[in-house]
Amino acid sequence: MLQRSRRIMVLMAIATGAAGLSACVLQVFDPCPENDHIEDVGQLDQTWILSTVNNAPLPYSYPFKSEIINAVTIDFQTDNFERGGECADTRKTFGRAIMRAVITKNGSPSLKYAAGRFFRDHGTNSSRLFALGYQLQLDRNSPTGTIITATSSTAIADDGSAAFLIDPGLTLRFVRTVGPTDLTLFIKLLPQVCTVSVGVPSTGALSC
Amino acid sequence: MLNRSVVPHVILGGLLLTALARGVEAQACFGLAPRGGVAYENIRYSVGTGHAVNAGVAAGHVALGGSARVVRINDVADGYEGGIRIAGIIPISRVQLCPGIGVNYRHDDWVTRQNATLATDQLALRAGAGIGMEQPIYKGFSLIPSVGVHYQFDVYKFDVKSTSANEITTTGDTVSRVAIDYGLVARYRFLYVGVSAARFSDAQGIRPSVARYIIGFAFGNSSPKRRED
Repeated sequence: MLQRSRRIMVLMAIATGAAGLSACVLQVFDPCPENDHIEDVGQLDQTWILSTVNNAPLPYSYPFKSEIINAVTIDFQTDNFERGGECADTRKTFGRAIMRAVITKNGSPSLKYAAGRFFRDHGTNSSRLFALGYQLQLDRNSPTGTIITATSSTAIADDGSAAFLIDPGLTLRFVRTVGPTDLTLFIKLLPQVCTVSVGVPSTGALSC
Repeated sequence: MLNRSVVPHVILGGLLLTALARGVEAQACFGLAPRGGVAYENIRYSVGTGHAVNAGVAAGHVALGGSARVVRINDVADGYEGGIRIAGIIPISRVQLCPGIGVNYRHDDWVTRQNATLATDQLALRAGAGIGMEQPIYKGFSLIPSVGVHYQFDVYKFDVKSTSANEITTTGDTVSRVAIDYGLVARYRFLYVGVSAARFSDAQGIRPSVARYIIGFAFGNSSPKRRED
C-alpha cells in the first residue's frame, strides 16, 4: 500500500514537472506577436513634439548660430520586444527613431531629418537612444538619468543637420502627442556627463 | 505594402539551393535534416510576421546554407532579408558540431509620422558554432534538436527621405552582441516539421524575439538507422 502511494506521488511529480516543462517549452518558442499593441506607459512610441528649448518657448533663436528652431518632432516606432513568461511582461522594447526639425537658417526655412535606433529597459525604467547621433539614458523612476555619450559621432547626419542637438547647454523638452498626457521627455545634451529626466515638469530636475 | 517583387527572388533562391543538393551529408546543426533540406518557414517576430525559404547542403565536412525572407512589421514597415552561411562539420558520434561564419542583409522600408520615409539597411556578420543531432524515435520517425551560439556584428544605415523636399539624410550605427538560435525538428522519411527560435544573450525574459515554424523536405533518403550502418 505504501509502495503504491509512493508510486502515485512519483507519477504526480513527473506529471507536474512535465506540465511545467511543456509550458516553458511553449514559451521559449513563442514571441507573443499578437500582444504587440499592448499599451505600456513606459513605451516611447508615438510622436514627441519639442515644446521648449532652454525653458524658452518656440520658435527659439539659437544664441550662437544664425538659426531659429521653429519645430522639432521625434517619432519612436517599436519593432521588437523582449518579454518574460507572460506576454504582457514586457522587459525591453527596441525600435527606430526619426527626428524632423524645421529651422530657419540665414533667413531661409530648412527641413532637417536624422534617424537612429533606441531601446528601453522596462525593468530598470530606463531608456537608451542610439538615435540622432547621440546616446543617452533616461530614467522615469527617478527625476534624473545620465547621458552615456553625448558627443558627435559618425551617426550624426552627414550634413550636420542634427548638430544643434548636441551643442552645449541646450535643454530640449518634448511632449507626447498621443498617450499619457503627463509624460514629458526632457533631453539635456552636453558634451560631458550630465542629467536628463522624464516626467512631469515639476519633477524634471535638469543639472550637470 | 508587401514588397511582392521580392517573392520571386525568395522562391528562386530556394530552388537554386535545392538544385545544389548533391553530396549532402550534414545539416543538423542548423535545424535541418542531417543531409540537408529545403524548408518553408512561417516567421513570427515579437512585432510582425514573415515568410522564408531556408535551405542547406553539405559536401564532405563543409556545409553551405542560405535563407531568404520577406518581412512585415505590422503596418509600419515592409522588408526583405537574405543570408548565407558556411560551416565545417565535426561529427562526434551522432552529434554534429559546426563552427562557421555567415552574413545576413536586411532592408526595411518604414512608414513614418514625419512626412518622410525611412529606409534601413542592416548588414550582420556572424561567427560561431552550432551543434545538433538526429535521434531516431520509432520506425523512420526521428527528432532533431539543435542550438547555435554566434557572435554578431551589425552595421546599420538609416536613410531618411523627405516627401516634400525629396532630400535624403543618411546616418549610421553599429552594435555587436551574441545571438543564440535553438530549435526542434521532427522528421519522418523525407518530410520534416518543427520550430526554431532566436534571441540575444543579453535578452531579458524567456520569450524569443523571433520564432520560425518550419515544414520542409529532407535531402537524401537515408534514415538515421541506415546512417549508423
